[in-house]
Amino acid sequence: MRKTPFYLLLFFLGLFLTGIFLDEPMRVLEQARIICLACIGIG
Amino acid sequence: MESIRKWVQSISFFLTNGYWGFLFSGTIYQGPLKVLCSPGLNCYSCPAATTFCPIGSLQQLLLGLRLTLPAGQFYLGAYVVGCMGMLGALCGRMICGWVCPFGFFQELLHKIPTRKFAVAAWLRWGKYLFLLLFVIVLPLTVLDSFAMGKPWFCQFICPVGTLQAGIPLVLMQPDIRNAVGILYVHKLTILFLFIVWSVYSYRPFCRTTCPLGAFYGLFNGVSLIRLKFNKDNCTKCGACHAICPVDIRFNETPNSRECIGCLQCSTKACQFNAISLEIGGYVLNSTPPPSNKPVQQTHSP
Repeated sequence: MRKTPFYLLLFFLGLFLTGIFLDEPMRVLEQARIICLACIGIG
Repeated sequence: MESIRKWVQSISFFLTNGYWGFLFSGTIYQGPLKVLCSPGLNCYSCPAATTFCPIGSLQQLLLGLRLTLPAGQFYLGAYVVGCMGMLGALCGRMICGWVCPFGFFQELLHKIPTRKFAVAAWLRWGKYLFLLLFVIVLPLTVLDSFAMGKPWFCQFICPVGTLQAGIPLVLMQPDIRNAVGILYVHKLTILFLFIVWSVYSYRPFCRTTCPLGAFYGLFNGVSLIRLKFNKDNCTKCGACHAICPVDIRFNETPNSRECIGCLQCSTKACQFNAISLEIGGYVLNSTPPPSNKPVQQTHSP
């Protein structure tokens, strides 16, 4: 059994939870709900 | 196995682009599913997209990160990097090979029968440059008069946004159509070049430009699910070199960051069980090599 992938998963799970604690999912959702004009080459 | 992969790619495409109501509403999906991370590169401004693009979202968070200004935001991108990192730690670049919609699109283009060309090996470093410079450094450091950065990769490079969002939205929405300018033409040109290149070479965008592929590639050697090389079974026949669509010599670089985990070397090429799928240290389909193991020979390209 390799342990490295589990340590990595735990590390990134920690980051993921930190992001939730900082309310980042709401910000991501706000951005994803509007058309990003720059992304489509306008603006 | 190849047909299973094609099915998985197709299903993944429809899961990450599952909102076909845009044909009637004329606008993009705005529901709660968009808080979920798309495993592959999939523009969240695509009218059908049901998830957020990790590369687009990361840039959007970083471009507003101004710790010294009262108006600055304090979103560090931990949620997005956490999502990307968990996916990478789970299966590395197998995501590129199995679920990325734009990778699938390039594979379909490559099926057009023409003479095929290899992608120069040095070009693979380009994707790390795009990840570091266009996704992280430039959005953080180059500011406009309102002290805001730009999503440099999305705005100036990404052909996925043009294909999935730019073209359909310009067709659907007259307001957007009226705003088309030189930048749109620039992005259409990049998309056109990658489409033509994909016909002649296998997945050129993934191998030279994709910052998400560059990030996932960092996990290829340590991910939970990965390919394992059994040196004792290898005859150095070169069958894995010949079949690899991304030109990896698997027996020489078994944990290559370029490997997209298509499994063709394991299932189609190697007759001696030298390449197997490993999950967390447990090897699947591991059997001893046949007793009639041939004399070692070196493959000449």
